[in-house]
Amino acid sequence: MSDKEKALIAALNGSQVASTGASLSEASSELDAHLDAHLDEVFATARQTRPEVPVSLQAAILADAALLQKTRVEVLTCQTAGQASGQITGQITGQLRARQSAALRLWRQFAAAVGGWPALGGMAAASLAGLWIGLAPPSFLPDPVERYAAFSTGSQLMTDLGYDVSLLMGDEVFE
Amino acid sequence: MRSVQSPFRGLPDVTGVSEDALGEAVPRALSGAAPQEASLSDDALLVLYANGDSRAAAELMQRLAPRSFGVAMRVLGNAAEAEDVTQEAMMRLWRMAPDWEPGQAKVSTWLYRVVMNLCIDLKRRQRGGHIDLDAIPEPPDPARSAPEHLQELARQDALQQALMQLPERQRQAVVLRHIEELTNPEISGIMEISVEAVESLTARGKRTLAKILASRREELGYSDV
Repeated sequence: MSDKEKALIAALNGSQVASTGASLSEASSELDAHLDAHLDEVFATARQTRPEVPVSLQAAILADAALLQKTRVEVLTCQTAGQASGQITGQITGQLRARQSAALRLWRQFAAAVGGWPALGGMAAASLAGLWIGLAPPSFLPDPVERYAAFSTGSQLMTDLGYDVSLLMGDEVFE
Repeated sequence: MRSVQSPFRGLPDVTGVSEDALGEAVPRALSGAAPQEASLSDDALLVLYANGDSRAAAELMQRLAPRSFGVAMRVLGNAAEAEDVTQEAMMRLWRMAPDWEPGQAKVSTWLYRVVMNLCIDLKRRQRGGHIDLDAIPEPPDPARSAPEHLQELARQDALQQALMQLPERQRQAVVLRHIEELTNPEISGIMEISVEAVESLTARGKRTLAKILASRREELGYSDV
């Protein structure tokens, strides 16, 4: 502590105010100015001598940066691949939809040509009635199924055929 | 993805390199920096990093790590703790890079805030009974034996000892204002307090520091004012 500061502090304590001729407030502000100037010098030195970052810390910081960056690049790559996959899926879906829409458009053109939905309903009803009559005909009509079954039974066919043949042969023998 | 053209064509790519190799690559990477890098803002470098440019990380580290480490050293008074805080703060910077909005805030201000919060968290944990073995002060470097170096160390040590006697918030404000030379509004943003509170903290802290250091002025070799 300098002599001047010691004198100023003494002045602040009131013992030598009269001898220095300084008022209490003047002594206080002068002391503050001295201390501030000293502190500014200390701060200036501190600014000029900043601590150096150890090389090991620099390496650790760069390693962290590289690791996070690598992870992020991998994630971005996966996302990009996912987007590409989504694009291909979208293309396939689009093609299918285009085909479906073409078939639908053709069907609508056919329905319009035959007279619209009422006409299609009539055609469907007639088709079903024809199928039903074919499978289960009324009693006054011959049953095609029974006739088919009769002709398709081999043993009966052979018996009938044998009877006819024997008759024919017998006639010829006895004649 | 935001696009900024990389100016680091002359620098080695350190992505995926082991830590040992990085230790050797750090000085080489920094000494071989391209001249365009100085013209790039922290914002642009952060965008470059987020876009996969690993050499932007080296430039950002060169700019920001010394500030983070210096502030952490002054606030914590311990090199090992300051290293931990700096590494963690920089890690948060790398993580935040993809979400950074250029122009909204200064990267350095954001980093100062992170460092200060990490310092506060560390002190809280220590007050809670946690003992950090790394917090033991490092032995003096025998290579620095010249008298001027000793006196410089003594001055720095005296400042550090005086800083450590301040309340934590005063210490933070004084370090940011008088050593980092930030403006009061910047400190206000970092410490999340009003500008008036910053002024009050720095004034009280400075006054206390001045009184502590005045008694040691002669032994530290400062001339009389």
